[in-house]
Amino acid sequence: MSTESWQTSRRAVLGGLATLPFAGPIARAIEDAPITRTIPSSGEALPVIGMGSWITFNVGGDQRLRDVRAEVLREFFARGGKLVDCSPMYGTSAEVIGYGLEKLGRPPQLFAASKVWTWWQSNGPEQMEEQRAAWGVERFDLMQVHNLLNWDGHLETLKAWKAEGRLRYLGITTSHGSRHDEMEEVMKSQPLDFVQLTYNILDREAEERLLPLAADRGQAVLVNRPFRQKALIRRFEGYPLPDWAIEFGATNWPQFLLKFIVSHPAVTCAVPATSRPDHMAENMGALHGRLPDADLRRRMVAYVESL
Amino acid sequence: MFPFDVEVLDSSYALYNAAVWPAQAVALALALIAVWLSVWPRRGAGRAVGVLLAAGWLWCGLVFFPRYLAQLDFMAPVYGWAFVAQAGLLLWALVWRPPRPPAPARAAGVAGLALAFLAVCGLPLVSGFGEAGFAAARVVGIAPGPTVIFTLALLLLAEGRVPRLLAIVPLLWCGVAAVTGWALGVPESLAVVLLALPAVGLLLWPARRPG
Repeated sequence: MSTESWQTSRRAVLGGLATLPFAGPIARAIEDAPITRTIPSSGEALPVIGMGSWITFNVGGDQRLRDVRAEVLREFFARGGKLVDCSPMYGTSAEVIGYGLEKLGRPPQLFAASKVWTWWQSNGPEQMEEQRAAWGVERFDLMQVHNLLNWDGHLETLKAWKAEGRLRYLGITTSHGSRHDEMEEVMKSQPLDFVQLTYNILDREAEERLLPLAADRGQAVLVNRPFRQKALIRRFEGYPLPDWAIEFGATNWPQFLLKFIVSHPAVTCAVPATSRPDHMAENMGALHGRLPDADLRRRMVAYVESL
Repeated sequence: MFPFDVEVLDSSYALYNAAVWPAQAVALALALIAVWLSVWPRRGAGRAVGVLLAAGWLWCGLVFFPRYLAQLDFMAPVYGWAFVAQAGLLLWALVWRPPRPPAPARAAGVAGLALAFLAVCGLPLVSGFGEAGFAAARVVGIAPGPTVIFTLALLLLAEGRVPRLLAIVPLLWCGVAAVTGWALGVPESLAVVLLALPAVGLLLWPARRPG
């Protein structure tokens, strides 16, 4: 469902409810419900805010840091999160996620997403199996080819695994805005469930071709580097939020930046990463309330570019 | 593009130091022996120094990078092989083809001694005053930064016909340290760069090199 149609139907429901005597609590309940998008290839709903783990969950054997990351996960699930994304490139992140999931009693809502990242197709199955064991999950919901590395070889494996029921969705990733031409070709030629790319309020190249293409092809979109790895937060945190940010419920910069991303109609889920439970709580605030419409999105861009 | 932050790097050094203890004490003792042999050379001293230096690079290449840092950093195996290669170069240059020993130029000798002192004492202090404390101190012979600086120091003391090849890996490590220091804000890494660059300059200075 597109953002516009989702906003419209939501507004219509809320408007209709307003005439009823019990309108207030119901409207609030709807407003408080996590914002979700459907995965086009299945119709399954996903909350629009997920969790990345680049750097933040790579804490090695430090027990204190592992426990803090488990609390980050606790906050994520408690606030309605589902999708957790990782990669074999991220060092000990898979082990630390597995530790956190175990400590939390294996939350059933988990949507497990990881990647395969090796030059050789023959190494892919072993690497994915190592990741699965580290997470302690029966299977991954989503497996992606990391940074398009040997994508044709790995997609062959992923298609076979999907057919066998060893994973539910397959996809490809890129980041930092790189290799968009190659990604476009793969998106056009391959039966992908998901694509993952970099998109944020200042890096909007994906709006030109990849996001429309994903919508046309029925491919769900995960968005990485929503804050340019903290850089956008640091850049804007000294400035006030515009008064009109309250119209879509953004009370801090992370929510402002995340709501810009997930209000794009083609985006399914953004995957910000954090090492702190309080920052996770801030991020997850973007999962509730309204989303900015097209006019507000233009104002958001103009505002941050004026800072 | 590091897959970890400075807190995790310090934490991993602390865990590493705890795991390899008392290797630090042995490494420090061997480093002092190497300095002693360099300052008061005797028959076979050059070869002994070469073996001791190569041992430090081998330890980093075969133990620190693959068994500890590789958990966190996918680049660690590459660093490990570079350190093993440097150990091989040191063995080739200092053990099988040791430099003939004219006395070191005075400036280079003083600089070499100062650098050796900083590698053995200064860098552990810099890293030890970080948030993780001395548990995360980088120790010569078992941590890459001090090992690079200590090697350059003893090469300055060795004088003479030190092949330029020996400067390649230390220079490459300077690049890694510079990026680490800049991206993660690691003082020890920045100190390594500040010490290594002039040391390499002195080592390759034409006046020090025989025709």
